[in-house]
Amino acid sequence: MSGSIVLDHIVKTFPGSSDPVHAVRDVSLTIPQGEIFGIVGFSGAGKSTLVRCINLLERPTSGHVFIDGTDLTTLSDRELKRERRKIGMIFQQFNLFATRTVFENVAFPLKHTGLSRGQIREKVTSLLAYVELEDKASAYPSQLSGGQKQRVAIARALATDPAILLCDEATSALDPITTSSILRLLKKLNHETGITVVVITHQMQVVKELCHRVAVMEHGTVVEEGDVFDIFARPGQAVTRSFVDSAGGETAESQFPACAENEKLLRLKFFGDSAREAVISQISRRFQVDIVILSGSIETIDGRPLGQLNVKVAADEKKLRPILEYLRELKVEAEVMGHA
Amino acid sequence: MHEWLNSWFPYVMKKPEQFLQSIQETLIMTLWAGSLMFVFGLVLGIILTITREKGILENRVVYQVLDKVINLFRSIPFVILIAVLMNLTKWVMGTRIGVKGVIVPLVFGSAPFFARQVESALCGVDGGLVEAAKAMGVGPVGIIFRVYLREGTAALARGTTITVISLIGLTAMSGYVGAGGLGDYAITYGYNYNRMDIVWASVIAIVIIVTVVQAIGALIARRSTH
Repeated sequence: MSGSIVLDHIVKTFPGSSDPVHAVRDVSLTIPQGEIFGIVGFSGAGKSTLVRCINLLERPTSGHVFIDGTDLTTLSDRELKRERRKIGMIFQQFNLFATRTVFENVAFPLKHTGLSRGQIREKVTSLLAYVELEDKASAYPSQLSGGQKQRVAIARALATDPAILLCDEATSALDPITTSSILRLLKKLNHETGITVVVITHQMQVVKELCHRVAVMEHGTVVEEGDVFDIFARPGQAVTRSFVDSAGGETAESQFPACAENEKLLRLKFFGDSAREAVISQISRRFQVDIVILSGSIETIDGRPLGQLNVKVAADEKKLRPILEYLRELKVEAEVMGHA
Repeated sequence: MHEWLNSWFPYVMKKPEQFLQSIQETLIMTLWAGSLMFVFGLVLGIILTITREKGILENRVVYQVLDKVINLFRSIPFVILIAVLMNLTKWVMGTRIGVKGVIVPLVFGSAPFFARQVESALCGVDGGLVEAAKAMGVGPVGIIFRVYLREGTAALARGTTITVISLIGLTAMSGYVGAGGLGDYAITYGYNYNRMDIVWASVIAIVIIVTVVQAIGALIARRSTH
């Protein structure tokens, strides 16, 4: 199984009506085979353009794209066509052919691949079974729900046995439950076949449930990159932080209401073992302070527990200092979010 | 029945073969010019679609030239076009009169219009489908046939209907070069002699032809929509 991707100093500039638009400015990424890699960013951050540079739907203005060591930017049209069959792609709007049945849609990329009709039938049938849509083979896309359409699109993208699957906002048009089922399918696929998956999304929930590593994009550049757990535990950039907050479904403002003069708002983060200790009651007893828990959660990200508590401590600056020190000893990350 | 026709269409029934002959001429002109118009217009429309900005084979020069030529031919009134193309018609068909002599101007008069219809039909095909096909390793020829023409069939059928109906309108002017047809029949034998039954019979025949064309177009459009 192959499927490694190396993006080397990718730049993509569109000629605009007045000024050129710098969609991607010098992005270098290495995605090893078998990884589920997320690229997040707000709309206009350049992530869609970047993912299209991977299969050269957009040809980079400068820079190189290596798939398993082959530089796609130097290939002839014919070679590029063959290489693209190793890279499946699914889209936000599914992009199924409305005049073709589900079966014909999945069979579409298999034409002119040297397979016989029987082989194509067999292949398509097994792909539809994999996405649990055997019974819809003769239906037309207009008769399917959004989730079913995306499953057909996934089956179609897999028809040529690609080593890489690109997902461009693949779940953005779906409801939360359908989104989860599509994410489970992608996860299973990655687990069973070792296919490399690149996920473009603005939904941090998707990154949290699916990805191993993630890159955060802003204004055409990657501002932060790392393991999903680390990004969630310790977001470094403001844009990353706003994404991480959005995954919890809350903004910083709603988590931290205004409070009185001698009260402090803290955000505590627990990793691994510290998540299982009675930290709050210990502090309360030890420092004789009242602590109000505003909100909290424990999540499992990429297989590791990450706890977060937002609390209000009845303490002034002076009283707070030893508490913070003590927390540091316990390896609990504390962040003062402000006060009245 | 015969009685009834004789009383309502006396002059038509005096020489019914003349009436049937002009129907036949109209149909022949429509069929020949329509077929050629379809082929040329389709090719031109496809070239416009793929060479336009962001097309799969973007080419500014080709698009601009074609665009201007099409606009030029569309702006020339058909009667004048017959005169303008006189020598070309003679060269291609060997004659510039009769049904043969009107085919060339009919094609030139309708193909540019049809090319625009094709262009608008194919532009209606979702760009995402083209992108998806590209990502699957399908080349330009595959995209034209398997995506544009296939997915645009319903819109193409509607565009073809509109163009053929306007083509039938153009054939009415073919009397200028002695090609006959229902238009010529209505003017020469009806209007000029104030025999209104001939005019009305022509109208009825044309309406029936147009209705049939419309029905076929609608059927194809419906069949290719799922």
